[in-house]
Amino acid sequence: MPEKYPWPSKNRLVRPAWVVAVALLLAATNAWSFEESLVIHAGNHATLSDGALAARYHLTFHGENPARACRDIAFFWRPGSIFKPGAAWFALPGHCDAKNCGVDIRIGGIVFFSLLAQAQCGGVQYQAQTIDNLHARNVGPLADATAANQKPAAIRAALELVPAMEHYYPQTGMTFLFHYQNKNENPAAGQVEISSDDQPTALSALDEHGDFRSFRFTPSHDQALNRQGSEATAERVVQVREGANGPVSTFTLNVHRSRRAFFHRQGGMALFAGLAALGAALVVYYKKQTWRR
Amino acid sequence: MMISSCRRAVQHLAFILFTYGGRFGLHFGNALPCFSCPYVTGCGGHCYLMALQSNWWGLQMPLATMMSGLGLQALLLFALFALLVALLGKSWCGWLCPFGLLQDWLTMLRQRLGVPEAQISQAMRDRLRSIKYLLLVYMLALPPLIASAGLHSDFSLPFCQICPAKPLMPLFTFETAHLAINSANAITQTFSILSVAIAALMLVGMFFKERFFCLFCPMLAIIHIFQKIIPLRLKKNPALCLACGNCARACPMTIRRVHEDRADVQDEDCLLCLNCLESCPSDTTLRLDLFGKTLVSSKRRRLIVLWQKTRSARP
Amino acid sequence: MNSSATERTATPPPDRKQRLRAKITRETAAEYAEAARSLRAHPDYNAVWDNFLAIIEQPQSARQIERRTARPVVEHLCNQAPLEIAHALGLQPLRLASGCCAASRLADASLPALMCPLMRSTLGMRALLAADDESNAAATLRIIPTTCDWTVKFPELAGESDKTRAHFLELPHLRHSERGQARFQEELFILIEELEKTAARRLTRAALRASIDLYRQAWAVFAEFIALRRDGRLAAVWFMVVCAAFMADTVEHWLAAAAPILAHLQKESRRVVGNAVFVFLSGSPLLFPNLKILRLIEEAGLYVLADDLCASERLWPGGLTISDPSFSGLIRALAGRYHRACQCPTFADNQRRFNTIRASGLRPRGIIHHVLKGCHPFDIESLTMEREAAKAGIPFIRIETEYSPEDARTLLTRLEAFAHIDQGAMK
Repeated sequence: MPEKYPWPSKNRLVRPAWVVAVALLLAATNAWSFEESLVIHAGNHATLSDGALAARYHLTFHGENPARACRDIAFFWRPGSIFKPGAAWFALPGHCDAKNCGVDIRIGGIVFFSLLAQAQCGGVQYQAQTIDNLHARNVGPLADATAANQKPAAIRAALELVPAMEHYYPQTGMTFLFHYQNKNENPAAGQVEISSDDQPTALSALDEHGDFRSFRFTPSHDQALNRQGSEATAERVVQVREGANGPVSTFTLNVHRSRRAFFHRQGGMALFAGLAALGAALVVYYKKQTWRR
Repeated sequence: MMISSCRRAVQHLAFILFTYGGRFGLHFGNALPCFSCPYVTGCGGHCYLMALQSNWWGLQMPLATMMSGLGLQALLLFALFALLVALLGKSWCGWLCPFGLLQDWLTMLRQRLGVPEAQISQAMRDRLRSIKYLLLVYMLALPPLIASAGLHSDFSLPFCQICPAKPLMPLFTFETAHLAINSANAITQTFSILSVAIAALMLVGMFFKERFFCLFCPMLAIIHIFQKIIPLRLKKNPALCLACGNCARACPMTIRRVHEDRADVQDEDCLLCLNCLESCPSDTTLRLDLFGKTLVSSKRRRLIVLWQKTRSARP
Repeated sequence: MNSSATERTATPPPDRKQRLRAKITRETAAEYAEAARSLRAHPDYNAVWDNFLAIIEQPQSARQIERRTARPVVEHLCNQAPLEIAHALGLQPLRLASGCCAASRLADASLPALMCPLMRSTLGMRALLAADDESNAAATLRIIPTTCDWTVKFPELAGESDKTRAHFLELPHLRHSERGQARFQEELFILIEELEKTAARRLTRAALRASIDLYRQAWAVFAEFIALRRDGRLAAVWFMVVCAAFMADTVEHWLAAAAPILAHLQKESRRVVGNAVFVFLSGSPLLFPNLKILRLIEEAGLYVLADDLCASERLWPGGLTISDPSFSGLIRALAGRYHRACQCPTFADNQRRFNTIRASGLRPRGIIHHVLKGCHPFDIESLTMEREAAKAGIPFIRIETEYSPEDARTLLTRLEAFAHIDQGAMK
C-alpha cells in the first residue's frame, strides 16, 4: 500500500553518512525522556455480557495526567484485520478528567487496529500510537459502533509501523519496521532523534542507505517476561523527536515473550532421535526372544 | 469395494483435509473429535481437546465469564462436539483421525520390513487402559486451576503440551519447531523435554505396536463416555460365531472382547475400523448397526475376495 | 500281569495270523468297495464325484500317498497341528484316523477291550498297511497332539513294531488363557524344528505365507460345500466324501478335484426338502468308509444341516486372517487359529461349543450327539450338550455306538422315533 505507507524512493534514501551516525549516536546514548512525551498504555480488557470486548487505553504525559498539561487531546483509531489493516483513521471520543485521560474501545469479532492520540502540550505537537489485536466472543459488528458511521478523520500519523502479518502477536525479538514522516516534509538532517525504553541495540537504522526516517526496532528479550506466561506482555515504547522543540511521536508495543527465540531445535531433535533409538533398542532387546526369523 | 480399501481412502482424504485444508480455505471448526492438530500450520480444523482446555472455549475460562452468558458459547461448542461424536462415534478414530493414519503408516512400514509386532499381554493392556482416563483427568483439572487458583499460565493446554501429535504432525508441513526444547523458563523447558520424549517413545511404540497411542488416547475415552447414546454400534450374533479368532487377530487394538461369546462386543478401545467385521468368515455374525438397522455385516464371500486381493498384491 | 492282560497280549500263531491278516485285508477292501458302491447308488450321485471317490475308495498307506503326491508324508493325529506348516516345508500331512470296521479287528488281540473304536481301527489299519508296504518307514514323523488319553497313548498302543518317530505336540487345555496360547505358540516353534529336520529344509516366511494363501483358497471352496449343506443341497454322506478326500490328498489336488464337483452342485443339485427334518450333528468324529450313522440318519428322514465333528465341518480351522505378516506373526496367527478356534472336547474351557446349538441362524430342529463307545471326552460332553439343548428347547438324542453295523436296526428305530418327536416339536 504505497499511498498509505509511503516508501522512500531510492534517490531519497541516499543520505549523508553523518546523518545516520548522529541518529544512531543519539539512539546509542539512549536519550530517552519520559518527561517530554505522550504515551499510550494498554489498560484492562473486559468481556461484556453480549460477548463484545471493551478495552481501555490510558494516555500519559510526564507520567501524570495529560489533561492538566495538554490541550486539544484527540483520539483516533484505524480498525481492520491482520490480513487487511485499516486504511483510514476515525475519531474516537476520549475521556479526560482531572485524574485520568484515556479512551475506551468496544469491539465485536476480531479486530486488529492502530490507536492514535494527539495533543498540544506546552506548544509542542505530540503524537502517541499503539497497535492491538482484540478478540471478542461475539461475531460482530467488526468495529466499535461509535466509530462505524463516522467519516474518516483528515489526519496522518507521523510515525507509522509498516504492517506485517506477525503483528497480530508482537513478541520480543521480533523486528518492527517504522517509518517516520512529519507533515510531508523531510526534517532537516541531524534533527531527528530516535530512542526507546529498550536496550540501545534494539534500534537500528534501516540500511546502508542511511535513511534516518526508516528504522527497525527489535524489542530485546526479557527474563522477567520469560518467567511469566505466554499471555503476559511488556510495554516497549519507541520515541521520535524532531529537534529541540519539534514534534514528538511515540509508539507503544505491548510485546509477549518470544514464542520461538528460546527453541533449541537441534537439542530437541537430538533428544528425540536419541530416545527413539534407545526405545527401539529396548523393544528389540526385550522382545527379540519372542521373535523368530 | 472392500471395507479396508474404503477406510484407507477415507483416512487419506481426511488426512489431507485436516492437515492441509486451511491452505485451501477449508476449516472444519474447533470441535473435531479427532487429532487434527492445531499446531499444524494451515490445518483444516482443530482437535476439540485444545478447545476443551483453552481459556476461550473451555475449562480455562475464568469462572465469572463461564457463569455469564458466554459460558453458553463454550457449551455450544461442546454440544457441537457431542453431535459430531454422536453422528460417527468411534469412526472418528478408525476412519478420520490423521494421527491414526500416521500410526497405520508406521504399521504398514513395519509389516513391509517384516518386523514382528510387539505383543502386549492382556493384563498389561488392562493396566495401560487406565492411563487415558488419568490423562483426561489431568487435562480437565489443570485449566480451571490456571483460571481460578493462580496456577502459572504456562501450564495452559496441559495435554497439548505433552501430546505426541504436537511435535509429530507439524512434520508433515516440514515444521520442526515443536521438536525443540523451549528454554524460556523452567515450566516450558520441562514440558518441551517431556513432549519430545513422549513423542520419541510413542513413535517407537507406534512402529512396534499397531495403534499404540490409541491405548492412551483421552479422545477415545471421551468418545467412549458417549457410547451409550451413539447409534452407530458394532454388534455380534454369538450363535453364528465359528470362534475362529480372525476378528481379534485383525483388530488393531487386539481387543479380545470381539471374539468372546457376547452380543455387545464394542470395547472402550474399539476404533470402529471394522477390520473384525471384514475378516469374519461367517455371514452376518458381526454387523455395524445404525439405530438398530444394519449398515454392513460380515460376509464370507467378501472375505474370500479380500484374501484373493491380498494374495495378488503380495510380491 | 493278570489273566485278562495275558489274553490280550497273546498273539496268534504265525499261520493263523497270516490267515487273519489276509481275511481282514479282503474284508477291509470289501468295506471300502461297499461304501463306494453305496455312494454311487445314492440318488445324488453324479460322475463328477468320482474325482473324490477315486482318491478314497481304497485304503492307502503312507507310502502309497507319498508316491501319489510326490511329497514325504508326515502323519498326524487329531487336527491341532497346522497343515500349512507341513505343506510349506514340502511335506504331505496325513491324518491318521480310520473309519474302517474290518481293520479294527486286526488290532483286537493286543488292545484294551473298551477302547475307542476310532483308535482301534486306526491302529488296525496301520498294522494292516505296514505289513503291505512298510509304510512305517515311509512316514518318518508322527505328530501327536496331546488331546485325549487314547491319542496320547497311541505310540504305546502301536507297540514296538512302530518305528515312526513320535512328536508330541503338547496342547494346553485352556484355550482362552493367554498363558495357554503362549505355550501353544512355543509348541509350534518346537514342531517347526522337528518338521524342518524331517524335510531337511528351513521353513521360510514366504513359503509359509504362500501355504497359508493356498489353504485360504481351499477353505473358500470348503465353505462353499458348507453353504450348499446349509441350503439343504448336500447330503451328509457326500460331505463326508469331501472331507475324506481332503484328508487323503494334497490340497492342490483336492482343489482341482473339487472345482467341477462344486460347479455341478451349485448348478444342478436338488434341495432336500419334503419331510426331512434338519438336525445338528455333534460328538465323536465319523470317518470314511463308516457311513453307518449318516445313512441311518438319512433313512430316518433327517437331514444334517450342520455339524461340529472334527473330521467334518471342523476338519481344519479354515482360512487365516493375518495382521502381522512377520514369521513370528504368522506362527502366532496359526497358533491362535489351531488352538483357540479348536473345539475339541478335551479342552477345559469349551463353553463356546454349545453356542452352536443355539445358533439362531441355523435353526436346527434337533441335535444328534454321536458318541463312540470308549470316547470319554465326547461322552462327558454329552451331558452338558443335553442340558444346553434342553435350555434351548431343542430335542436331543444321544447315540452311543461303535463301528460294527450290528446295532443299526436299533439305532434306526431310535432315530425314526426322534424324527417323529422332532416333527411334533416343530408343530
